[in-house]
Parts: sequence; C-alpha cells; structure tokens
Amino acid sequence: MEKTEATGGSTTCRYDLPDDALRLIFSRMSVADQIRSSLVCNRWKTLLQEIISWDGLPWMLLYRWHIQGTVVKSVCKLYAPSEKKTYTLEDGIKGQEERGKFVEVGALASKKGWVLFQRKNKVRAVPIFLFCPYTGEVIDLPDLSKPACRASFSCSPKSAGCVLFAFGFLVINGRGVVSICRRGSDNQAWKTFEVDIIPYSYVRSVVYCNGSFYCLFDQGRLGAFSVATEQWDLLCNGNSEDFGWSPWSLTEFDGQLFTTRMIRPYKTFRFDFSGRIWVEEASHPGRAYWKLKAPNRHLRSVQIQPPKL
Amino acid sequence: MSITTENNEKMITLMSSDGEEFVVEEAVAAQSQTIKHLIEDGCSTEGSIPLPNVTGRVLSEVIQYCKKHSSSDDKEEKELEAWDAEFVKAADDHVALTDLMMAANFLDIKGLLDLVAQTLANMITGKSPEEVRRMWNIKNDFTPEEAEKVRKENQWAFE
Repeated sequence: MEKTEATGGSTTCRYDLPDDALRLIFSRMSVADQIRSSLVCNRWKTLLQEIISWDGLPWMLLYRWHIQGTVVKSVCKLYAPSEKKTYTLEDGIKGQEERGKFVEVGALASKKGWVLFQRKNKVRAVPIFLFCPYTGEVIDLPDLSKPACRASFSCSPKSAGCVLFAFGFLVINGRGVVSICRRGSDNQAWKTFEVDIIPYSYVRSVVYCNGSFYCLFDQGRLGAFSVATEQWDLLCNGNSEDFGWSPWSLTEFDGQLFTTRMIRPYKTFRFDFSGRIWVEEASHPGRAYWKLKAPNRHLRSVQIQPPKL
Repeated sequence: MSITTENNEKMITLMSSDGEEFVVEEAVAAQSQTIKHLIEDGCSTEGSIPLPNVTGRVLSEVIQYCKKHSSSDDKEEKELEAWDAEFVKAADDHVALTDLMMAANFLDIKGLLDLVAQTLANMITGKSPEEVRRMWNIKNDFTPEEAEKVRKENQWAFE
C-alpha cells in the first residue's frame, strides 16, 4: 500500500481505511476505547461521534460507601446497560479522610454526568454535595438548615445559571418549604420560601423542566416553582381514582412531563399544561430509560448521562 | 477465460494489482460480493478479472480464507473458528491486517471483514491515542484545547 499524503488536508493516515471499515472496527471496541480513539484525529472523532450518539441509553452509577471499623469500604462503578458492561472506578478500602463524606449518602438526582447526593439522618434528608464519577470531582453545597426530602438541579453545576432545588415540609403548620441555591451567583447560600400545599400529601419526586421545578405529590397533585419569578403554583389537584396512594414517579422527556405508576398495573400519564390535567398515555415515550435495571442488587444505583464526544 | 475442471467446477482467473494471476473455483471467488457481481455482469468471460486495489501477496491470503470458508459447512464451526484465529495470527501485525482489511472492504467479503475488524479492535484496546497514531502514522490534527475538552469531559477513560 502506498503512502498517501493529503495535501493540506486533515488526514495524513498512511492507511486511509475507508469510513465503513473504520466504523466496523470502532463498533467492536469498548466505550472507553472509543473515547480514547476519538483523540487520534478529527476524522476518527467524527466517525466515533456517530457511534456514541446512536445509543441514547443512560448509564448507571452503582455505589456503596460504608464504614468498616475506622475505614471506608468504597465501591463505585459505572454500568453501560446496552453493552452490559461495568467500569470499576473504585473498589476497596479507603481512609476516612478520603471517603468520609461519601459514607451513607444517597443519590437524589442526576444531570449531565453529575449526581446530587444527600445525607440522611433521622428527620431530614439534606442535599450535601455534587459528584461527577467520570472526573471524581466533588462540589460541596452550602448548609441547608430548612427541611428537605426531595431535591434536584437544573443543569450542569459547572455552567452558569445552574439552580439547585429542594422541597420539604414544615411540621408546625403543614406548609411546604422550597429552598433554592443559585450557583455562580455572589450569594450562594440557600434561599427559602414557604409555599402552600395540600396538607399531608407526600412529595414523590422532583423534576426540572423548562425553567420550573415540578413536584409530584400523592394522588397526582402537581406543584411548580418557577426559577425566574420565584413563584409557587399548585397546578393540579390530581384525583384519587386514577392515582390512589401507590408510588408514582415524575419524569421529563422532550420538554413534557410524564408520571408513571411504579408498580403493577403500570400506567403512564402526560401532563396537559393548557388544561392543567393528567392525560393517560398508552406508554411512556422514553420507556427504555426508566425501565433500566441495575445489574447488582447490593449496590445503590442512579441513572447518569453517558460519556460525551 | 473460463476453464472447467474434471468435476465440472467452473474456474475463473483473478489478477492482482502487481500482475499475479490466481486461478480459483468460481464458488470460492464468489464469496466476494464484488467479484460475484462482476461474474454476473459477464466480466469474467474475457480473460481474467483485474483487481487493481489488491496486491498478489494480500490476494493469496484472501483466497486462502475464501477457500477454507467455501469448503467448510456449519458442523465444523469450532474448527473454523480456530482456523480463523490462526489465520489472523499469521497476518502478524497491524500493517498486514490493515492490508487485509482494505482488500476485504474492496472485495466485500463480510466474514473476513468482521474477523479482521475484531482483530484490529482488539489491538487498539487499552492503547493511548498517541500509540494508535504511531501504529497508523496518523497526524494529530487537534488543537491542545480540543483534546483537553474531550479528556476533561471523559477523564475516566484516560486514567
């Protein structure tokens, strides 16, 4: 084979394998090797971008950090469901200083490769830090003194305008408490608001969608907190016939809100914003997403955005 | 030029880029979709089929592969796998394998393409971008910032 030198072009591969041949080779490599190979040259990267974006399935972060005597047993893995492949980031005994803050934490929400963790004590669950398993980076959050039991965030905590949100209850007067923390602003402390809720309805999940954080309560009740106006709005009173007291989860998909019954019989409703009412759908458009199961029951898991090229 | 053997197998002649001629059974050559279409279009009746992209050395390896795979049936799957493994091992290095890949791609032989693609993928496994560039003499055309961006967003892949 002759040496081919592209004149002024981007590729001077001695063996200019055709695109199809390269695609075939790339399709047989692990994601880690695909990511590494994307740095070989621009042409490889362009081809690999096709492959990596073909599969939109999220990955999972599998984790467990617990104290064993004076040290921390640390397990942290990434799982790619489509390949059924696990990448171990950490598995072993670590010093308390190193992994102390990870002990007995639970994931609250995930976005753009970042996971929001909370620490639970007897009365409260407090969002405490953000963790990126791909980079190992941790962002500590300011102390939150108000009650909180569900939380989420709007976008990557590294980007300007990221807002963290937590929802809790005031036992004294039965009202809700919304706490927000704007990252990148001068004052990063939590700002709290007392809001009206239907008394004694439990918040099931919190989701960010188009500028608002939505809170799903029992019986399909839905509340929204607008980040721009800092206003709370009870959008829908739900109904006990359709929803009852069973566990429902709230998801955002393509700018729409869906709620899904997490036990049999499975049901999915889409929120109709103009009529402020839940409309039953035959199935969840992103069914593949939330149906993913973790491969290891002994580790806790949260879905996470896969590697990006 | 079509020749017929005693057992009535139709033979055809393939000519490599460096002028070497190979006489093979049509059934063997037809494992290449490219050659199959050339035969169907009647290109084999006058003289040999020229393959301007494949050297004699590579073509002889390709024919070896096609012969093996046209004579084996499904029962010998295990043996065939072992043969395939030996075959790519004999190709020795990534340069020879790349030649084979180019030929398999041009001749459109699916089994051989898959086999060589897997072998090359295995070779890339665990290698750094620098090592892969050296293997294929590829020029790094990223700015440091572009490379840093990918590394930063997917740092775990580079540790």
